[in-house]
Amino acid sequence: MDIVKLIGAIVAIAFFLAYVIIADVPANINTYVNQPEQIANQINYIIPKNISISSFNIDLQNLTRLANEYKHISGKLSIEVPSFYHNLTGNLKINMPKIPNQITGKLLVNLSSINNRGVYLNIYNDFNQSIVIENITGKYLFLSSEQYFTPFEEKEVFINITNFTGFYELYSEGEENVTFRINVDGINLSSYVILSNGSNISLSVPNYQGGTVSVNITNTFPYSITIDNITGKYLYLEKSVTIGSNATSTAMFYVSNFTGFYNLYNQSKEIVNVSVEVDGIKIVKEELLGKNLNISLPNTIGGVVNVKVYNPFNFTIMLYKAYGEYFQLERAYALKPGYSYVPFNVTNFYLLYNNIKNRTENITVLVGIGNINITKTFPLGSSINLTYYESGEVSITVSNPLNTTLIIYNITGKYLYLLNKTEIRPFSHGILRIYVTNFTGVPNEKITLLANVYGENISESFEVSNSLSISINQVNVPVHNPFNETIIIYNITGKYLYLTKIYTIPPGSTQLLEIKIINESEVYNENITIKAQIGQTNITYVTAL
Amino acid sequence: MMKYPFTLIYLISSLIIIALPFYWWTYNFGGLIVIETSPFQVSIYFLGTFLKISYVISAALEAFRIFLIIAISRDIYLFLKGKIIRNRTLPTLTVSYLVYPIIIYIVITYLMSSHGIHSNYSFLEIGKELVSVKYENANLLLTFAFYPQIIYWIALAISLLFIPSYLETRKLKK
Repeated sequence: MDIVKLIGAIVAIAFFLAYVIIADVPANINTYVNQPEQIANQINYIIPKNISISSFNIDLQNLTRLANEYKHISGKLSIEVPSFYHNLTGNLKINMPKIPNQITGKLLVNLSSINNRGVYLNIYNDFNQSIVIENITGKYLFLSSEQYFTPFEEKEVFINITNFTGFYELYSEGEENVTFRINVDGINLSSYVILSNGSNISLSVPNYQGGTVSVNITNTFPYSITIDNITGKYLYLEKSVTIGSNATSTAMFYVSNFTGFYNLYNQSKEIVNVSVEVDGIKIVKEELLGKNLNISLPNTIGGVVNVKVYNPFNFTIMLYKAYGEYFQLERAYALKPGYSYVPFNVTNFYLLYNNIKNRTENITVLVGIGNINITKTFPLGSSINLTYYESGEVSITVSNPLNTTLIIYNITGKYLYLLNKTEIRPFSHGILRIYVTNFTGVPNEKITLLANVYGENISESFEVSNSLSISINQVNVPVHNPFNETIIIYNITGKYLYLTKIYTIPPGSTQLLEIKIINESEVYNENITIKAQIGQTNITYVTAL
Repeated sequence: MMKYPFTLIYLISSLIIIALPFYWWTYNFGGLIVIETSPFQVSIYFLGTFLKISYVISAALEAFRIFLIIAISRDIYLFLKGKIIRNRTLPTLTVSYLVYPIIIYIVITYLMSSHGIHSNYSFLEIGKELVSVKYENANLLLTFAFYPQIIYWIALAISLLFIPSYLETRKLKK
């Protein structure tokens, strides 16, 4: 052997030894030897073990029994609605402030100068309203033109003298009697005065003026009222006002003629159009306005009404619920045979009354007769009738003994169906609400159950005989695939069991295998055959359970 | 040197084939056991899991590869210097692979009979065979598949160059 080959051999041996030392081969020698055996032992994982059988029952026996019992029973449940106050009578107290219906004032007349043609009078209008002096006449005096005075105006008025000598004679003796003819608001008044240096004429005239008056209104109704408008012959409401219950608010009115208004108001003859709003209900009425505006308004508040209910049976029944749009039974009541009074809460008497009047108020009752709950809806009139048990809701308790949630999607038959999807948690009870459309049809009916257990949907059909029970036997076996190869389980079969479908278990994962049991008591004595594929290898394995 | 082109091509190709890190053959026993092998490396899978012993065996085989690379490099050097070289390494390795299925057959047949396993396995050189195995409660249906990779066919083709190489160097000896 030449030197190069020797070096080659040494390098190769050195490489191998280096690997042996770095990887610590002597210490791992057991790993290398045992690894295949460990892998081989894992095959046990894929053999289903610990098969325990569970089942659940949906016992509809009650249903059949009830159907048989109740097909002979019938009766008439009546609910009598008493009359109740849908209107409230009350008043709006109107506190009209005192407005003078007469205006008194003075004309201050001063003689300021006299010449042979006439007399100058200084006249002051003490009224807070305009007046017209139409004429001033005396024995020797006359006014040539009408004089118009604005409130509190003072001016000189010239009066013609027809005979100065005669006038002066009378004046000196204090006997010049002068007549003032005055017009106020179209009303003519006359007054006399002895003309002197300082004299005054007292006048009293009706108040035909108008103006804004603030009026306090007290609401005696048990709810708040919005007055949109009050319009009468001599007044109207300037803007809408809301008055709380038993509260007083100030309303602004415009009165067009105080005297005219007072005449009617004092005799309570002022007819007004009243537009009010109560809880969104608008009412327009014609009323007589006096110190009290007596008015009848909708009773929009609620209250309790005792309702007479008749139980036609010779045993106690339950009235669980009774309600409509504006009323409700406060709580469940046990109704003894015959008449009983039960209190209803009414939320709005007026709207309830309107609905009854318009025949749009329905009452829905949930009555429990034995184990059957019957829900019925009727139009509410003076009385409502509930007849027969031809249909109704039945509650059935179902226990779930499985360690998984049982979901019952539906139970259907020609004469019954499940009212809502029901989920029953593991190891607990649930209530199935079944609506029966015809109790007499229930026995011998074919029923289909749609449910979900262990994530799988199941559908079972049953014939209802006198005793109806549904049982489903199902085993869920976890199988783990420890290998880096996909395992396909084609079938697990025995005389009394079978796998429901083909399972593909990816490497390293676990799946629940759903196995159906045909016969619970025999299943433990039999051999099962497992057909599977690991990689490209098909395995058929026979084992005892 | 160009007088012996076959020898030159043969030697250089041999060196390249030996240096390339590819598996030559795959032995698949129904996916339960898969062995990928070349004279210089091996991977053994059991139920999809790589067996660690493959590393140790591969380390020894890699050492053999290193030795051969050095030895053939030396032969190429001497050949270029004018020395006549006849290296039988590659033909020995490639032809021996044709014998391995026989060894496998003998081993499997022995193991089965010693463990009381019944099987319809008959000798398979190359290709696929459906094998049914019965052992206690289990029936297995496996596909045995033995097949070479392209690199093996190339290696075998290069090995055949040894014949013209041998002939051209023999002429010179006379």
